[in-house]
Amino acid sequence: MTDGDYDYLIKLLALGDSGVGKTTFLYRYTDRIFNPKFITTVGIDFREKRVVYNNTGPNGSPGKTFKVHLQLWDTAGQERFRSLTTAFFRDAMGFLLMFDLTSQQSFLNVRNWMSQLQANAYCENPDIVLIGNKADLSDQREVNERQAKDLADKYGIPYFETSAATGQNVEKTVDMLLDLIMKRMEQCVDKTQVSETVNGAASGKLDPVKPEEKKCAC
Amino acid sequence: MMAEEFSLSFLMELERDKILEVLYRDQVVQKAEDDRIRKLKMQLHQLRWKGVKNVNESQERSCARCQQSLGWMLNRGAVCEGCSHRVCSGCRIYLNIYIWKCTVCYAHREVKIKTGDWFFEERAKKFSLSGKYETTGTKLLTSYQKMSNISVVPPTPPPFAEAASEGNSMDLSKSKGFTKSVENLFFSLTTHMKKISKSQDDVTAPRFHLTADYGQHAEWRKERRSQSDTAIDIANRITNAPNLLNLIKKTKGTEECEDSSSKQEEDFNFTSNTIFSGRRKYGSICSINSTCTEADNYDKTNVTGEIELAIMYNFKTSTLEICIKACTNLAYGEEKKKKCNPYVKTYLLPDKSPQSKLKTAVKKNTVNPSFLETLKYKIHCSQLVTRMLQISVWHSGTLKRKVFLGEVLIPFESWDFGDNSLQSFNCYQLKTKVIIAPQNRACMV
Repeated sequence: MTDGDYDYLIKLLALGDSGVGKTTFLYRYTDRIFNPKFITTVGIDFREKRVVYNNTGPNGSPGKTFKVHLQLWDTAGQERFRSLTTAFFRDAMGFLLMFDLTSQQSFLNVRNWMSQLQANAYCENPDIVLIGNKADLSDQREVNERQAKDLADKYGIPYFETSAATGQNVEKTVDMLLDLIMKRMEQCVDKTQVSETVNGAASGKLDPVKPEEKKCAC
Repeated sequence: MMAEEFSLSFLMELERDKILEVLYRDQVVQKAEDDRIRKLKMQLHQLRWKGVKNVNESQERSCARCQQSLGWMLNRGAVCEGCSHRVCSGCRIYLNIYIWKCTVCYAHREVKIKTGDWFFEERAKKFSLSGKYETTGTKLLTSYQKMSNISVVPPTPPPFAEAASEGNSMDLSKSKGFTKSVENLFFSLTTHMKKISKSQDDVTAPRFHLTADYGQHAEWRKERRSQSDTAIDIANRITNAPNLLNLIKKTKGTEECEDSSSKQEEDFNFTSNTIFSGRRKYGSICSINSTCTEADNYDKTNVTGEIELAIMYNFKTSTLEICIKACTNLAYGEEKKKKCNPYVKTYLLPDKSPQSKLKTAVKKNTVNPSFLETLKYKIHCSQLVTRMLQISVWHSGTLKRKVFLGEVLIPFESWDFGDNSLQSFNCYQLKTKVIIAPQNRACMV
């Protein structure tokens, strides 16, 4: 698992209140197993997974495939580890911001987590996916989809409802985040060579790079 | 009350170990990544060199990449936006139908993406003052290791800045701010451990913890008594440095007035002063003994003889077990008196902190001691690959003077834990001291 035979090392980080299911979500993603036991994460942990990323070309042309090594950081939701966990935010390229659909409070705290991210992540507007977990517990649901969707729209980030228990949307969510990061990478390297535009902090994503004019002489 | 405190501190220790284990695991990932990045950059470098032209040549119209000559009408070539060199159409790679780059610029772009440089550059815009490529995990681990074996000279400023690497000009205060907050965790955990067994003036108490697990209470007591001379040294230093003393007092005060159950959360909010002074105080005192004695006595004796031991790793309990059987033909610790009271000490490098130190009992008046003791380290096998076992033999002289008699270093990098032959007893030739420069350690982790 630790050989260097991959094209990208992508570091993702899951954050959110204690007990929303970050560890279980990641466990489901990497091992396709649901572990219903609640074992609180001590400070920080990570899991790894090797995936194949299919890069669709710029015009939908068949793209290349890349081997991506994912390092999925899991953080303790508990307040007492906060200073440790937030220190790890700066090393992650993308974030899985998670709340519990059966806990209104965990949803309300999303706002706090967002500001933590803005302060500690590698840039003001990193790639984030908002995740409402425990979608399978529909009878205990406290947060409705509209509410969550609106919040995600406000931040300009995608929203998914997932269930680590059934596996619903788990892979899709991570794939989405991976997608965003892969795009961001390209934009970053191309942008720096064209112009250094600073994007508004409110939007979750960079504006699409303007198509440059064709240089003549060919 | 006491029992309650103990279980709390025990938990803290476990927590710290758990986090350390994660950090060590991360180092393994990071090392593979570093190797990969090095390779990528090397390849790019080679590609660049292929395209280098000398000045005369560049006056002529030729492709900067393949050196093919370019015409004035047909195949005129075009200037690459990235490097401003004129290249032929064959040496262009299109990113989309409009944008292209020359092969080298394209490779450069690819490398920037694949090495994660895009990320570090973005991050440097926001956190311009910290080490560009350094991860939190590495930083944390380095500062932890420094903390547990902070230098012999206490009143130096904390050396975190060095760790921030890459030769970037660093703003000290900023970097401290960061390290402080995370380091804090370790500090608070360590303080907890120390607190429970510590009376006001008992500076050696932390040792109790380190050895208690291995049933060496007696050993610890002996040591403690004999440390008085070092302790006097420390006392002298402290009186000479009134600032330090004040800081120490302050730390103690803070500890005492805090309720243990709520302490931990509050620890995160300590002011930087308290943390630094406290950290330095404990850090230096507990390592002072071993460091001092070691440094003094390396070259006073010849190194002869062998040590017979077996190493095995117990996967069930995640324990590394080193069974020290015996030594043969050791040099005399005190040549004139023909005296030798040998014992064996081990460290799991790069950790040179007291946590990493284990010792056997001292055998009296023999150069062929038989120990038959098993020293155990609780460590996850994934962490172990970054470690090296240092087994050294020492003579315990009068007034606890220690004389180095030889050592063996066993790296675990390519260790086959399943190999049974290594689990049987083997003889290792004792070697003279290899001083491991601190830089090496930084590379290893």
